[in-house]
Amino acid sequence: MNLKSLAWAVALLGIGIVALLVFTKSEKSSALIYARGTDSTTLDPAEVSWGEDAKVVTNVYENLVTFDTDSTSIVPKLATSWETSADGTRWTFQLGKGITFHDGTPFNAEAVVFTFNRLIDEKNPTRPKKVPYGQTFNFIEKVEVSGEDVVFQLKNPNATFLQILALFGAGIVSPTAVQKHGESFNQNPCGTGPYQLENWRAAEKLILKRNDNYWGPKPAIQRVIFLPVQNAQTAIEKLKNGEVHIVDNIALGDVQVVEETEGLRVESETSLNIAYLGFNLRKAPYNNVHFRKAVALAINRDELNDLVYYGQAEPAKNIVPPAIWRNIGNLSPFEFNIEKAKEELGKVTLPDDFVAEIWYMVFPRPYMPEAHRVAEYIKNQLKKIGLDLQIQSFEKAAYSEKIKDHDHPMYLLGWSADYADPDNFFSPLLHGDSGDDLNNSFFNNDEFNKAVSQAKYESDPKKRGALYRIAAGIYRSKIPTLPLVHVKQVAACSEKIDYNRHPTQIRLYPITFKKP
Amino acid sequence: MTTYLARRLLAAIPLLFAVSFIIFVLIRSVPGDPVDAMLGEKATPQVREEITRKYGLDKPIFVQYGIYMKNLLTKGDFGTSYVRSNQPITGEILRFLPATIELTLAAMFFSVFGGILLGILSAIKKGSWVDYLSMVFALLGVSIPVFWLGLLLLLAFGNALATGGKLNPEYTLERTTGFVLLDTLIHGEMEMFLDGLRHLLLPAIALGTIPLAMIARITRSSMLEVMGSDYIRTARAKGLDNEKVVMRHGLRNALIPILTMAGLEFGYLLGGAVLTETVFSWPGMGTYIIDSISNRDYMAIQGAVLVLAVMFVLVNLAVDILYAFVDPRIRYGSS
Repeated sequence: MNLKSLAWAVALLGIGIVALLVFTKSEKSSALIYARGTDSTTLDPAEVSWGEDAKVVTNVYENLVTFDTDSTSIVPKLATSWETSADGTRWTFQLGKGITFHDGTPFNAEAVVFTFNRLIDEKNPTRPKKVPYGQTFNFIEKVEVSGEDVVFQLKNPNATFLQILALFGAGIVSPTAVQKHGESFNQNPCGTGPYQLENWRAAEKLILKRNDNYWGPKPAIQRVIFLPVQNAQTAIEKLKNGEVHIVDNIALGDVQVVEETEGLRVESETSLNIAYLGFNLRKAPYNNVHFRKAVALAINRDELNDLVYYGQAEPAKNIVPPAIWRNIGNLSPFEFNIEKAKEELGKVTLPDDFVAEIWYMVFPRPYMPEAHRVAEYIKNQLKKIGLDLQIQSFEKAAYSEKIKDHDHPMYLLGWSADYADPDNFFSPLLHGDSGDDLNNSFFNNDEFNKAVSQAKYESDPKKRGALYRIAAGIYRSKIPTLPLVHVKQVAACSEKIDYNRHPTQIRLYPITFKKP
Repeated sequence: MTTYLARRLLAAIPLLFAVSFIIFVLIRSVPGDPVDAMLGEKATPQVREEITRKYGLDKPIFVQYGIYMKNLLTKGDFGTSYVRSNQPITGEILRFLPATIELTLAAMFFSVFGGILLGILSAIKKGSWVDYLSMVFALLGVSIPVFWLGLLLLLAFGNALATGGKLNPEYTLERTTGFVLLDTLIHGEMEMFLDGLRHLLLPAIALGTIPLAMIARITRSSMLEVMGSDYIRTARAKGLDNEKVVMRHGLRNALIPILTMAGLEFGYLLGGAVLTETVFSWPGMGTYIIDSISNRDYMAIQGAVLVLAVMFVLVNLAVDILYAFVDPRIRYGSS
């Protein structure tokens, strides 16, 4: 054989193999395939610290109470009913009967006590090394079995108690499984949920199968595969090719492309988050309320939404998202008025060569997917009122370090709710006690602190609402941080499935394949 | 030969120590706190402190390094991951490494065979359209960024083949060696074997194109040089047919620089795999390293990088040894 025919042979062989591969490709789709940016890190509810882990955990475990189908109102789950003592510190829960964990262990009051002792008792031998939300449960004094019921004794009354019980961290775990697997329980989850773990190959796939002994209505789909796909474009391509059914948290800029693609649609849901512009109140001129008012007046949220968030956000009136605020009252939108902004800025004495500064973090988050563009927008607006703005960016870790030095100027940050209550926004982000932690503006207003602290322990919704209205009033007049937008969570999905997204949780059991 | 091998292996030890120490220090000098990464934004100072103590992050860096090396050398233990809590990194690396090796070998196969073939063709047909075409291709190949090529291939052929991953996620393949093609053959799963090939093809081409271009160029110039030498003229004068002259007398002598290039390319492939793996969601070391970096998982990053460094050293050693087989004039240990 001469060289030329060898080359031809190799080329033909290559083409032959590729053709064989293309023509033997068969469609397999019995499972629901869910693509997401990265893999889970743990499947133990106590260890969960972020949404990626919560997504899976929420479907494997259940809580005493949970959120309603399409809102964050509390409804019963493993607990069927509950009473509270007159002083609001003692809560008794009646539990559902005939429920078992995936490993066959019966669900009962002991399991509830076991679960919460892991969370609140730092010396508990079954407690994982890290319990990121441990502090959230700190107000619980003790949890006891009382006949068939379970009793929570709180250190002080807490109006957010039920919301916190619905948090992913409070998923009830099987005591037998925890004891059996020890430190590797986070790889071998066992709850009472509609789905259970079939197989998990890190960075490759995580497969859940239907819990056929589930006590409630059984999910329609038998298997769900979570697929980590790092590259956003790859994920959309997979969706177009029918290799996956859902791609969650797509780039806002891709929404239009997906909408225009036949067979695909966009599922968006107002999310419980806020993107805000902060001011370091310990630094001039940011500590001058007129300066902050001037900045506030110069920003047009509708324009910001269109230009930076592709219309996928809601202009903010408050730091608390409207879905949480809705029963509390109405707030007027922030005013946009360049002339007034100039007036306000005129009341501030600035050095001649003053250039304002803003910091942001190079790290895409749901509420701030493109922080640099938000900063650019603000720069543009401030120019209109005669203020120069210098933009500084930091990598995520460097940013956290820099903020600890307390020398930051204005800054772009945001927050996603852990539980759907105004307290989860006001307390960590603005209360004077959170100054060294997340309250990076160092806002410390006695009246505000008092209202927020009181509201936390107030169980009468009307009185709570009134306290939060006071807090919001102070917040809006002092503007320690300027709320910008609440950003929708957008998933792209195939027309082959029916999927309505819940505001806070990824719930798999309501999803169904459409009949062809 | 054995003495040479032993000497080379011994020489690699201080090198690897140096590499491990540099990685160790470099990672820790980057701003940012692994504890923050581990606990997220919502942890309190008390919890932070507790975790810092638990993982020994409050100890001086030399002490940390000492503990790390001791565990590594005595127990083969790379430590436990900060982020994937309680997971021994040794096990994680063993799980991710085969995927990268499989991809790298496939890319290597593609680039070495394709590159040599293309190089020889253009050398013996110098000045013809084959030569120009393959050299234009080679030039393009060395200039294309790998992730871009990957995305392009994905957009063009993803639909016909596969858009990433090692295997259709609905297949359940029992893990014996960790290499998909091997495992499917061992378990006699032909359908999965073909699916594995489908998934491997595009990333291997994406990753192998640049090395292919380099190898093609070096083969061409090396062949041209050899083909002009006296012994080729002698061989022809003996009346040998063209194929024998090219393959036996020409190629074999031209192989040394090609081999060197291929060895170096292997290192490139390991690095390039990081980008390729991201585009094709290939669950290998690249994905693992990127995940660990974004989670600031010190232990995982240094373990993974160290393993890659060891592989690089070993491959270079293997290339040196191969020289002796290709060129009988090179004999080690007899100086």
